[in-house]
Amino acid sequence: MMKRNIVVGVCMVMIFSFMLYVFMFPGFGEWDNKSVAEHYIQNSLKETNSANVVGSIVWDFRSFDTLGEETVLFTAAMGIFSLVMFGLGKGEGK
Amino acid sequence: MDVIVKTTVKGLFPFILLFGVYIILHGHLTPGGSFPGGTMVVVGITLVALAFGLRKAERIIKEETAHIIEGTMASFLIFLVIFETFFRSVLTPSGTIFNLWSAQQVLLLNVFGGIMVTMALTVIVFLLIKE
Repeated sequence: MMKRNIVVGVCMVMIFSFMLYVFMFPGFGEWDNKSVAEHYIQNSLKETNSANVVGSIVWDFRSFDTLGEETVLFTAAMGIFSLVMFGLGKGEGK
Repeated sequence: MDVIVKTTVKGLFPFILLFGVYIILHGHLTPGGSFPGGTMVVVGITLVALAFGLRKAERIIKEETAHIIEGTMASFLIFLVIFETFFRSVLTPSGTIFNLWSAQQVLLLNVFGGIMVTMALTVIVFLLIKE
């Protein structure tokens, strides 16, 4: 019980500190010079040397995002593998 | 399957593979990349599996091999993305723009990601055909 209370407390503190980040956002309608799209278009050729701007954004500027996409695919393959191989789908439905 | 489907797949299969590999390799020059290219390669393998049976398709790549390659490529991808994020200043891309050897990090990540997408979708298709 003590351990569970500690875990819940740590989670609450982490959620609260992540919520604090909201106050650092620019206000509604004040995005004038804070947009990152201009920087991507201006510097993608200089920084990544790639002729495809979309490819340079997907695999260079935001590669962690793409890594998440690949994780989704990997998880889908593992899920189907576990369904077919270990018979998790052979419950009451069949 | 009948003769028409078999003959068509026999003629089309190398070109589908070639086009998929081309899309993956030119991901940093033309529209496309690892996801569409990998899907095209898997479409070729799926056509062979549907026309000639799973036994013939597993002669191209076995399901167990696909599992191993998929996991290896996933770990390579995680390592490369973290390396690329923290060592941006070290990696100065060389080569002239519009050549095949131009944007090294984008090219490498496209190739590894394309192999991983191909293997993951191959595993899914083979498992669902087996079921």
